Amino acid sequence: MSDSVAMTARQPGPAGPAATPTLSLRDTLLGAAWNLQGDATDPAFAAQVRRTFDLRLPTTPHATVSGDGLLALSLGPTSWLLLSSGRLAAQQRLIGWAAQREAFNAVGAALFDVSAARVGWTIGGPGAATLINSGCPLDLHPRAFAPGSCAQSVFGHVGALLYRHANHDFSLFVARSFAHEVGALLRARATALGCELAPPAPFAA
Amino acid sequence: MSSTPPPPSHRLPQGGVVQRDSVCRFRYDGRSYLGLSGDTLASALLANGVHLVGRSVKYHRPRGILSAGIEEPNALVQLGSGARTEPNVRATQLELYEGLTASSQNCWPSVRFDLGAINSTLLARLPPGFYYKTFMWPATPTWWLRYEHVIRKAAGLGKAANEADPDHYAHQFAHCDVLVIGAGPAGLAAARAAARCGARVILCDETAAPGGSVLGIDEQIDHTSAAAWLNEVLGELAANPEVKLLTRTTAFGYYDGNLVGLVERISDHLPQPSPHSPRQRMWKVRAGTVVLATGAHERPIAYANNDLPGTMLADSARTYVQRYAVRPGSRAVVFTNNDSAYASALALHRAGVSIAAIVDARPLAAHPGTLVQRAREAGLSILPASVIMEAHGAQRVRAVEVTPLGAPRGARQHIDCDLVCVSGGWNPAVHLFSQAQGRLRYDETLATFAPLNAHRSILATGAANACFELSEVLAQAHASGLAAAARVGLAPSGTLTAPHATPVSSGPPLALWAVEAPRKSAKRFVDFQNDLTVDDIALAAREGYDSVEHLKRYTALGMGTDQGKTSNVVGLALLAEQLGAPIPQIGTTRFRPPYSTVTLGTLPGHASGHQVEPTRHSALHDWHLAQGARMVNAGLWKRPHSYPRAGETEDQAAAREARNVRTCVGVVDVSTLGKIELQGRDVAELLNRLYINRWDTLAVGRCRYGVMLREDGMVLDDGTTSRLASQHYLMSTTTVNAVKVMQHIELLLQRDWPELQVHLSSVTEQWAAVALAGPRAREVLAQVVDIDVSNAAFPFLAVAECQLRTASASVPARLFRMSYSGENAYELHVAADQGQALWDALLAAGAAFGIMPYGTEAMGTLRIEKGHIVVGPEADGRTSADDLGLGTLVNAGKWCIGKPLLDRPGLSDPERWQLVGLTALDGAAMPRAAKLVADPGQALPNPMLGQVTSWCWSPNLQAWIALALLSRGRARHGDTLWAVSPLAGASVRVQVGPPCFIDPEGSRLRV
Repeated sequence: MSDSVAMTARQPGPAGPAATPTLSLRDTLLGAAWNLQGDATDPAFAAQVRRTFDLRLPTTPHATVSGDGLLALSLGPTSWLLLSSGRLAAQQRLIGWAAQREAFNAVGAALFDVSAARVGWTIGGPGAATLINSGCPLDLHPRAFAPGSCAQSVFGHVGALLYRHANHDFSLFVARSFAHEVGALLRARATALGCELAPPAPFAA
Repeated sequence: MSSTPPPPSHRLPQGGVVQRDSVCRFRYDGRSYLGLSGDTLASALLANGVHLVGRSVKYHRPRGILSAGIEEPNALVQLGSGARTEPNVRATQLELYEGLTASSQNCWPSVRFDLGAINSTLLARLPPGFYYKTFMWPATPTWWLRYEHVIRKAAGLGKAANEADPDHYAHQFAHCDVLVIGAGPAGLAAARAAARCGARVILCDETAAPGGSVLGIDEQIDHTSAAAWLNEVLGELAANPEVKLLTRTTAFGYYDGNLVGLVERISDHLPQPSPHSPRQRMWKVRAGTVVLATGAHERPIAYANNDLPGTMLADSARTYVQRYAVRPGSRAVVFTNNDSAYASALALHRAGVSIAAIVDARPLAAHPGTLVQRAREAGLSILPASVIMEAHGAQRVRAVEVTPLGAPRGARQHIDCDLVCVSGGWNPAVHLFSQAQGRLRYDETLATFAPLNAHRSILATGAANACFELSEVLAQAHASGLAAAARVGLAPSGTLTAPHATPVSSGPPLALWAVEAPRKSAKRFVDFQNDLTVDDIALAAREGYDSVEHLKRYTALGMGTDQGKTSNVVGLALLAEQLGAPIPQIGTTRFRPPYSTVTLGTLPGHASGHQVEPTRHSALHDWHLAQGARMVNAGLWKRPHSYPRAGETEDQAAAREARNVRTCVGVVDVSTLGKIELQGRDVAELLNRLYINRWDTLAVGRCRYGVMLREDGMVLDDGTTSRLASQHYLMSTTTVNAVKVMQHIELLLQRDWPELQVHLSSVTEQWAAVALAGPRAREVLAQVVDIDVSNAAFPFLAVAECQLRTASASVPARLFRMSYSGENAYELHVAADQGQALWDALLAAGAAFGIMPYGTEAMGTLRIEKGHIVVGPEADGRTSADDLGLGTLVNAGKWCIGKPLLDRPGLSDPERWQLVGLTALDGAAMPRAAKLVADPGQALPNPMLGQVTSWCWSPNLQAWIALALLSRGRARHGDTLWAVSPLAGASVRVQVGPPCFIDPEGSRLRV
């Protein structure tokens, strides 16, 4: 080992120009997001969900349901995350969001605005699962985590929400305060794997 | 350095799997040598005729290369220099690369002439427990201090680097149906069978080149050469997208749920590693089934001077010949108790090594195995029913004495040789199987411990399952691969046949652990790395260490970097002999991870240095940094300490900021406070049960301060809760307790109060929050919000939703009138992605009023001046609400968590510590974390009356002040005590008073 190598600290970074892109990584822009909580077996709640969001909530673990510009992810037996791609559309839909919240409160349910609480990335290509598995212990083989699945897990030390799109891409969301941390890790590892950094794009269910 | 080293003297002209066109120059102990790519350091040294590579730990006896793999006890080298130097690297596994530099360990001034070897002469024996027995006297510890530095210097092997590790390390999770550990013939056959069933397979091997025991051999597999078969299988596996082959990867530990830890050495073998690639990667593999194809380790036989350089395990000698094309000697004696060593003798013979004799402990007539027959046909001399009693030589074996087995006084035969190849039988590498709680059985015929394959998720196969004959290994491993796939419901689409090899018959081995000593002083080594002899084990047994676990700890048997791979079974068998007990009754020591040494840096992976834990940044983080603020930790959050201006110290900046809040107006980022939204019919009832004060009286548009207790009555957390709408509340928690409070409430709702209709969601991340405080706060606020904020329209503790005018837009905001500083103050919340716009809008609107941002230090100063507690320093888990002066908040008319235990006698003890304020007298600074005493001159232990919990220089009072917890504190107002800090050598007179120093009536809040 020559002195020049011995003196240089090695840090995560690009593997070199020869690496061929095996994945793509882009920032994902979330329009709006709500945490919806209620009893899925209660017809009044289901009716209110249909009136407000025009969709039927997924009731099995890790399941998602997509509606008109909206994706409902199952977070738990009584909790869902609704993600919307277009911010303006979403705001118009909930233009009187206090009234909508009260409508849910009236049927014993709850609606929380969490539009700014998360940041996300969308990762595609054959190396996508490898990149995510560098910090996430889930089995991401299509047999175990099929398109349309979601799961709450971790990336490194940080809680993460994972969703697999129909085209097999993944979206990874973390709390906003960790954006710098997870973003830097993802970019460094992705580049080492031979990655194209793509421009930010809105979330599309 | 400039002259070219001579060509390797012991390299065979052909054969091996080394790359002859890729010559590597390397340095060992200051001398330059030539080797080939594909060599290990050990094979390259042997190719240059170097056997002597180290000195033993206790006696400093010369030691040579014993093995060709992970079991190596002797050939440990110090690799490289500077920050990347690594001690105790096994030369037998270290891949050679251009420019490699290594040196021998545990010797001075050189491995050939080592002064430490005087140990061997002066101390005839360093028996087990030597240190315990020798250094017990005299009893005073000063004597131990005299020995210590001598012993410390003599102890240990290599030297760790003194500099910080310049490398980085990675982690990777992976899942598979079948994890095959070991890519020898068994592993390859098993992996291929499982893959052909459609299973997701991970196959790992600790070496760079898969093939294991069939690398370089002459035998045929599937009617083609072993090399061609290897290529075909590897090609098939590489083409299968569901198969991952990891070379240079050691499975080091088995953990619950079929989780196996692998360490992949990514760049250790590269002369110029990529500057950005990790050095090593730890794989955490969850496998449906683990197929253990880890092979077996050959064990030596103990006889006098069996540690002389030139002594080698028989199969390792074969490996050096066939895999590395190296002739490890010129004239060899093969000493064995089984048939496998005959393969080595034949390989050596074919490579031109003269076989002086095959000394076989067995009478051979009864069991003429195939290999024995071939040796006879090759004309090799076989001495049946014989043993090597003693070897001769100084730094290399030069002769052996052979006697008939069991007749040590019988006819001695002196045979000259420079190489002794020993085989005492084989130990299946059952480490991971045993770590997985798999049980072992002792096989009397094979004289070895073998797996009882009853474990449901780990299957040992091939040599790891005590199956040593190649045709059987291939058949068994193929079946294991199919069985592993079947366990996850996968079957082949057609009939698959196992790879074929010509069966080789062999006779049974004879259990032989040690040969009788020719005389009392002769040393017969069992554990080479710990210099442990047959007599040491006998002594330990006589001294009462009759359990194998005790034997291990008393003698250090198997405790070296090799973890006793060549010595453990021999040692326990000798203990059994001493005790006259059967071997299975003695059993093995417990196998624990790691299977072999793992570099410490690999275990945390990237989570080291500043990434040892994640950090949280508020929406304003970059702004704080741009202002030159030093960020301090608050839980995982980073918060600005202060914003020093040019020429200011941090303390001066904080004092300026705190003064400005009292006289003018300041803004502070409070986004890090925990925020929990609650919705539902029963929120008020929940709050009543959580907090000591009353909540069903809180009107919409109002907020209130509350204190939560633990079930034992001690303060858990404090904060305000606001009622935003009839069924919609926002609770704030302290920064560090946000998660704890959320979990506390969720647990109570799910476990204790499922009848309450309350939903809660953490919205800490949703909202950026800024506090605006000071006499001119209202004037600033009025510029940016669209509601009337006059005292009448928006009084103290009012809450409203409003629109905030930012530079570019109008954004929804929540406005709260609450105060931590004691001044008229507001909190503004906007969606986190609008946080910077909010901050900019306030700074712009406040410019005309002298607004300044303030950091956590000024915030702390302001709250100490007001006597506000913080969870941690004041509410430290031992304080009740009453201790903190908050007892009047406890509502008598309702129950809450922790309330029943407030009636404990201990909580009404008049001596309890209570919150007080302190002012330093005599112009002295308040010492940090001081204890409070009545008389600083009193002899230790000076009775402690209390302690300082928070302290600061108050720019508004122009005095050093503090909050403290003081026994009978409220009764001592006006007293003078001493705050002493023996560590800092400080002793300061302080005056006790009420905790609130400024505006105790709270009039500033309500203007």
